[in-house]
Amino acid sequence: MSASTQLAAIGLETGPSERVSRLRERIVHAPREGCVERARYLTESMSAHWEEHPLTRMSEALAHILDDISVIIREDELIVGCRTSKLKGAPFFPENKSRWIEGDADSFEDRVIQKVRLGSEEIRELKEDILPFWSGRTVEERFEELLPADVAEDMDKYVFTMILEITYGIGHFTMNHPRILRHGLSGVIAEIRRKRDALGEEEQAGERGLLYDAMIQSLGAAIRFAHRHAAVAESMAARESDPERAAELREIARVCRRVPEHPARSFHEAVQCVYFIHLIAQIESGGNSISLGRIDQILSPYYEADLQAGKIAPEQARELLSLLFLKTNEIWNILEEAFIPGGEGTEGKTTQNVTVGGMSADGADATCALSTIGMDAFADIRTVQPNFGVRLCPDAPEEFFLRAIHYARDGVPLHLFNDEVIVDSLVDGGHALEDARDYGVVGCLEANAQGKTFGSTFAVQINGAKCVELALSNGEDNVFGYRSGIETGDPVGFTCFEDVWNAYCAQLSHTLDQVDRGMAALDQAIAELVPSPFASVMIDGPIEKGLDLTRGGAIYNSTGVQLIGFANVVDSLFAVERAVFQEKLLSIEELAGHLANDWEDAEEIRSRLLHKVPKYGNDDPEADATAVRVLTHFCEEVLRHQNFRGGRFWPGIFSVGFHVAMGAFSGASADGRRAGEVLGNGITPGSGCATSGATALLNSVTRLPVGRAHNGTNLNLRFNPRWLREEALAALMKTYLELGGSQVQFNMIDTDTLRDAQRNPEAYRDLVVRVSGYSALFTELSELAQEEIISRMEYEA
Amino acid sequence: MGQYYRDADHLYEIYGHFLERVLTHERIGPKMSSAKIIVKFIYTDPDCEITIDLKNPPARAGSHGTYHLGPCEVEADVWSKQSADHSHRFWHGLENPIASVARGKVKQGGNVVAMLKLLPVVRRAFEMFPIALRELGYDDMVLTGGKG
Repeated sequence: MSASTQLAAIGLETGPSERVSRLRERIVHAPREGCVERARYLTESMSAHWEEHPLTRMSEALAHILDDISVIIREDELIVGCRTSKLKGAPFFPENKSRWIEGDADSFEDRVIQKVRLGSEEIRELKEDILPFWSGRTVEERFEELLPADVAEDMDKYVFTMILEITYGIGHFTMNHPRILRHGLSGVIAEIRRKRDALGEEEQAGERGLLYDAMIQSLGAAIRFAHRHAAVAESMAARESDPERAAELREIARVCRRVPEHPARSFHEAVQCVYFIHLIAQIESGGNSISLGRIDQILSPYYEADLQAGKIAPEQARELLSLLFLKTNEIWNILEEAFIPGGEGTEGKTTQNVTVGGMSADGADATCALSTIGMDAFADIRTVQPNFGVRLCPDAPEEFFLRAIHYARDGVPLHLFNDEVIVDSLVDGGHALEDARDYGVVGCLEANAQGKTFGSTFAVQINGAKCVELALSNGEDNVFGYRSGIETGDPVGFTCFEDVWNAYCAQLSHTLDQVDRGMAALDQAIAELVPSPFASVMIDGPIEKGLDLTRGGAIYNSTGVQLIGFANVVDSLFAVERAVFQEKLLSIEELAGHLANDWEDAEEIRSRLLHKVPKYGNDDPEADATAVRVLTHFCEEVLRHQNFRGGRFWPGIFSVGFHVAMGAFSGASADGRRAGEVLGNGITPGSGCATSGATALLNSVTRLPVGRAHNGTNLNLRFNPRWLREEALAALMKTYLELGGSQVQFNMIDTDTLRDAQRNPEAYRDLVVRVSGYSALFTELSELAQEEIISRMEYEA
Repeated sequence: MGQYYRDADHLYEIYGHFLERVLTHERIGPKMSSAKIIVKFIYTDPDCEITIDLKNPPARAGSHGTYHLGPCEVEADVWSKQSADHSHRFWHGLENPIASVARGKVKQGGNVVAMLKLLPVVRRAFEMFPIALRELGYDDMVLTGGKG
């Protein structure tokens, strides 16, 4: 059967239900608001319990929050639970960082990007009742105490960043939902009690016993939180005049009385249980990118059982999954304004991942009916959240692959993952084969063992282009003129390309050493002050080890270190080698001078370097060989480092929004880029550089040993949908996966549409684009970020 | 009152001359105007406001932007608030801009991402600021010291 015939046979007739459409409209147009409730109850509890052990006071605080925050069930909802009193409300986490809240609170509503509505009484409460308590008690302040002075100084030079963990906690994990669904929290509490009771008297009074007590306290609060929802639903049902809605509310009440306390017995109960656990983990720590993971594998047993029993139809499962996905759009975090550059997007990095498809732990294809239903459910809503991934293994059904291609072509913001490459990569990184096969995805695209990993995957971003800049300036920052790197020699003395390469390596190595020491301080501060007893139950390891997640309790522990500006590093180094040392178009001294002066009076040579020297991404073997060398070296350097939790640093090449922000702080580069211009995103060739077409681009990208980048790599492809045939996209992607591509995401919006959206933002409120591993509302991005997306090469296929 | 400026008039005298120099500079001026934004700098000790319009056509030929010393009606895209002393050190290249924002010494609001477009000109401007001071006879206000 030809691809087109198969596509025609997929059958995508049904769309979203009316309920889903209504709820989608409501959340897409909801104002973003702040909410002080969580901070209020946290602070009340912490004030009363501050002298107690951090594990105890954190669990006391979570219990106080869950017992007192608003419980709201909104019209049309079947899946319930909320983090704040506002529909799209962001809580505050002053225990991590509080100074920024005080500084930003008055101007939340005046922001241009990520505007936040917050009432004057709530601002007053924050400033007068909440924030004063936290002065001197936050993770940020403890981190500053622990941070070596030279690392603190280097942090301000923006060669690297490592601050994301502070504002909202580490996050970036998937949880073992199947265990909760099977045993219920009551079963898990019983297990923890057994563990605790088996401890000796001294151990019970020690940290291990306190952890178990804190876990039990947190789980009890979670059960009560669900029961509060049941009570509200019962009350609403009693008052409801519409008998159909009253029945729905009674069913919600029944479900919330059942889960998560007890094992789930139906698909609806399972979906609700998963959402409660997902929600509470994000109330406890607020850590970004806490993700649902393999939703089809988690929920399929319940769907199949209900289907067999005639209790559910596929379209009902599709609706419930759409409702679950829509709920994730209520969860977001406010970014501090100073850090919006680099973290652009409406959700404040709350990138909640979901995947469907992929292999099972035994290596067989695990694509199931719910994989397809899940994809359809996401296609029905096409929202910023969740970050939706399709896992593809060699035995994946052709129809499933083609369905993903169809949706991608249709503009559904999804990305594809290649199981073969990712599983090998995770094994290379130390995962057991079975765990690697059962990977979930967190953050933008970071894969790791589902429910077994605490891998701070977006901990560090290193500006690779700046490392090349410093190598060609003997450590001086060309934007500000001060010293930002180590002295690696006056480039005038460089006699061959290897001298430049070695200087680059030395700059990168020094940066990584500084990052290592900084991360140790940060992770220690987090472990000391904000342990996570609730999340520690949800991930395998802490119960068995008696060790909180933040101290290394999980089975797998890693720290993600990303290289930003990969394409610029490659193209700049290749340009130096080719133009300076091979073709001798200019001397290294002349080049260093041009870079320091941002190509002033050097337009001719700049243009030559930009347009005449081959670039990575055009199937040029020599340029691509440099790309292989850069990636391999980066990964080897990163992997030398161990983290606070006993795991290793894991290399990644994806940039979120840092290719824009770090580009602004980078001087001119030898690839012909001017100072301040954006850097390449992920492993995608530089904007406007991959001019030989999509096939050549994919040939270049698949030469890279991406499996060494255990934390993941991101490839962005942009097509003009008017000229893109589905069959051609399918053929291109099939080849990409067969050649060893790891991940890919698409933008299918033509330039005219994006320009129109810039001119008429109100008409494009729900226009979702892929940035670098995550989705964002196009009209909510800064002009710089919008222009970067528009500048991406637009291919036809 | 801060360490460097006697009063608002003193600050306006110096910044007016400095802005005159950079906005008419053949290299710095065009780069500044390419940012196409309107920035308001708010200073404390002494309390002053300076608005630089790099978006609308310059009021004068030969200049690549228009500046307004003191409060004005021009609506800014982005604002930056800091002490006059901090600004004085910044324009000597002695204050790290990232640290300044992170530590709260500089507050910004509005379209803060747009402000990034001005980064490529700061190094040139650092060179120009002491020159402007000396041209006005304020050699004693020129600072020296380690960078970064």
